[in-house]
Amino acid sequence: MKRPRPGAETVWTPLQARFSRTELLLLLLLAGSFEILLSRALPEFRRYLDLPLILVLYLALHSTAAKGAFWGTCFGLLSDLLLGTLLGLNGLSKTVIGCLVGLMRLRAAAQGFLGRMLLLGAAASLDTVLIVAILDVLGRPVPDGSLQFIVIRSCLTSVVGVFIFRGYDRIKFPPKDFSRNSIDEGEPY
Amino acid sequence: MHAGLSPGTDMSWSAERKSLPLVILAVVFHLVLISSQVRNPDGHTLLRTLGVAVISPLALAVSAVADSIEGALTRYVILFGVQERNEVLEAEIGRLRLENAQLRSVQSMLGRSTELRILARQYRFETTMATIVWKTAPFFSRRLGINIGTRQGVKRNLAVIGLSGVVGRVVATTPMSSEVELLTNRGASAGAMLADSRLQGVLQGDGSNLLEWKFIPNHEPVDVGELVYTSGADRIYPKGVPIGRIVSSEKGEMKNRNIKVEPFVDFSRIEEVLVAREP
Repeated sequence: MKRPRPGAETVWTPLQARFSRTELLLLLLLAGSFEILLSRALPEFRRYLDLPLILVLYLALHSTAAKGAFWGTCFGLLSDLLLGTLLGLNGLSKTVIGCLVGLMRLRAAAQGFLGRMLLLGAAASLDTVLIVAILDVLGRPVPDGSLQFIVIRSCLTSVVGVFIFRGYDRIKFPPKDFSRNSIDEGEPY
Repeated sequence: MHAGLSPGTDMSWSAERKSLPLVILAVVFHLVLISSQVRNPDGHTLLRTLGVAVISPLALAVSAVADSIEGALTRYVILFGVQERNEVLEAEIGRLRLENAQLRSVQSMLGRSTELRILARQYRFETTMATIVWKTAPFFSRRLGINIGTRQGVKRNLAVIGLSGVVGRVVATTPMSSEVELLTNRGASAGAMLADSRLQGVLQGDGSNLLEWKFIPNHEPVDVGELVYTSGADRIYPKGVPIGRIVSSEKGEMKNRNIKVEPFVDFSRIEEVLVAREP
C-alpha cells in the first residue's frame, strides 16, 4: 500500500483491493481456459455468457478508472481472440465499461446482491449495444442485436456474475472472526 | 466484508482525471486496431495469424488436459452403457463390411472405364487428421482451431472435411495450429452441385446454421431433400465431397431461386476433422 504524502488528504474508500500481477495474469489464463472449455462443451451457451466482462467489472469496482480501462483492454482482446471477431471490438467496449465503472464510484452501490445484479446486467447490455453500434458504424454484418438476445445475455451474465463476485470476495476479503477477545487472552493491544 | 477496509489513496475526481489520457490512449489504440482490419476485407491475415499464435499454446494445453481427464474418466470410471455400445459397434462393423464389399465391386467397375477412372482419381486426396482445440461461439463468427499447422503441411485455403461432409477452409496458420473458417460463417462460400442433376451453383454461409445456394435460375427444378456435393469449381474443396441436403427451395422474386441447404456436419458436435493436403 502506497503511503500517502505527509499532509495530503487521505480518504477511506471501502473495499480497496490490491491485485498482484501474478494474480491478474492467472485470472486472464483462467478466463481464457474456461472460455476454451466452454466453447468445446457448450458453444451455444457461451454466446450468452460473458465471463471476461464479469472479471473486468470486478477488477474495475475495486480499482481506479485507468486500471479498469487497462483490464478492460486485456480481457477484451482475449475475448476477441477467442471469438474470432475483429481484434479490438470487445477490447474497446470493455475498456469503456471498465473505465466508466471505475469513474462512477459504484463500489458502494454494488455491495448487495441486487445492486451487483443490476450493475452486471446493465454492463452486459451496454457491452452488447456498443459492439452492435460499432459493427453498424463500420458497415459490418451485425450478428444479433435483438432485444431478446440482449436480455438473455444480460440476465445470464448477471446471475453467473453475482456468484463469481461472491466467490472472489471470499478469497479477497475472507471473513474474520471478531469474537476472540485479545484482552482476555492477555495479548497486547 | 469490512475486513478488507484499508486506507485508499486520494481518489478524488482530480486524481481520476489524471488517468484520462491513459484511457483515451487505450480507446484510440482499439480504434486504430479495428480500422486496420476493416481496411482489409479479406480477413486481416497478419493480425489473425498473430492472434492464433497468441491463443494457440493456451488452447492446445487446455485441450490436452481436458482430453486426458475426459479419456481417463470414460476409460476407467464411467463404464455405464459400454456393453450396449459394444453391441451397436459390432452391428455397425458388420454393416460396414458389407458396404465395403459393395464398394469394391463398384471400384472394379470404375476401373474399366478411362473417363470414370479420371473421376475416381479426383476423389482420392491426401488428408491429415486433426483435433479441434477451440471453437468460437456462434455469434460474431464461426471458426474453430485445430491442433496441426504449417509443420504438418497445412496451408491457407486447404479444405477441412468432417466425417459426414465439408467443414470449411483453413484461414490462418501457425507452426503448431491453424484456424478454420466454417462454411456456415458469414461470407464463406463453396462451389456446389446437385447429386442427381449435376446442376452447379455457389453455396454461401450467412452466419446461421443453414447455407444459401445462389445463382440457380427459377426455371431449374430443385426439390427439397436433394443432396448437394462440392463441385470442385472453387479450387479449394475437392470435387464430390458431401455438403448437405436441400431443406427449402422457392422461386425468387428476381430470376434466381431461394434455396437453403442444411449441412450434414453438426458443427456444435464435431471433434475431429480431416485436412485435405491439396485441393
